[in-house]
Amino acid sequence: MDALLRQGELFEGLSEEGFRRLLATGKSRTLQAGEYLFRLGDDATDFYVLINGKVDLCFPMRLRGAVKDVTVESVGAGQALGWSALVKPHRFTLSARATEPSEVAGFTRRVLLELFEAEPSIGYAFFTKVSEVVGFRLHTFQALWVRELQRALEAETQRLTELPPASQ
Amino acid sequence: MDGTTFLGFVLIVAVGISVLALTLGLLSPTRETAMEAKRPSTGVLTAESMAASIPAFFAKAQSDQLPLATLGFDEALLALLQNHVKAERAVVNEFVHFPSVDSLYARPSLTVH
Repeated sequence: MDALLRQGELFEGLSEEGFRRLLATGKSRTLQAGEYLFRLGDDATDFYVLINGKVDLCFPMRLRGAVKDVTVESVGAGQALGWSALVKPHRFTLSARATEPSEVAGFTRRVLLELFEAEPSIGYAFFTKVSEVVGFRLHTFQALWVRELQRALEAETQRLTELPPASQ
Repeated sequence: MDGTTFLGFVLIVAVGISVLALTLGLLSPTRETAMEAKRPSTGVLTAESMAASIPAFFAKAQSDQLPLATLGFDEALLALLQNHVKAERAVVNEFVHFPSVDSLYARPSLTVH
């Protein structure tokens, strides 16, 4: 497990000692296929790194009165999920569901912050990588949103150009 | 009423009952199930036609690879949406690493399974 996590996206900048101390604060948790790690709106107290398996991040879509989860991103081994635990208001904004038997390492925010207060260099390296993950997500969704706006604009432009001329 | 008239009356009643039985037989549960099986699934067709009617939203190249005929309406629509999100993310991933107007508005071209 240690070797797998060492290659994780959040631990690249950490010294061996820093990694060891950070790892000591984590707790392993297994998930069955289809089991939710967390759901949108849940209180986000823990942050996770996937050790093995696959977890889908989903957002809810209303379809004929029923709410269905649609996968927006699949997370693989070494990747982080649940950074809402580190950012106010500490509520998950997506749901996370295992698509196969999986194992995650969970890190409680309070314990992490205590460690970072005692060892700021670990906190610096950790939050530098977290900001990359958050920034990537921001840029991704910004681009997705702009593309949908562009589609809406093109559809509206086409609709307006096809309108019959106003009667005099 | 003589014998011939009575026999004629009985014959007419018998023929009427036979016609009624035949008519009801056409609408028996077995017959109805067979007719239902011949009928195309309106849910699937609606999902397919809906997807075709909004090509600006769903990536058509990917939609063609989905087994829509084997899915129900909701499942087909969700599969299309799921596929659309995957295709869009693939395009956007390129933009995030190499931001430009061209990469932002690139068309989905990757094969998504």
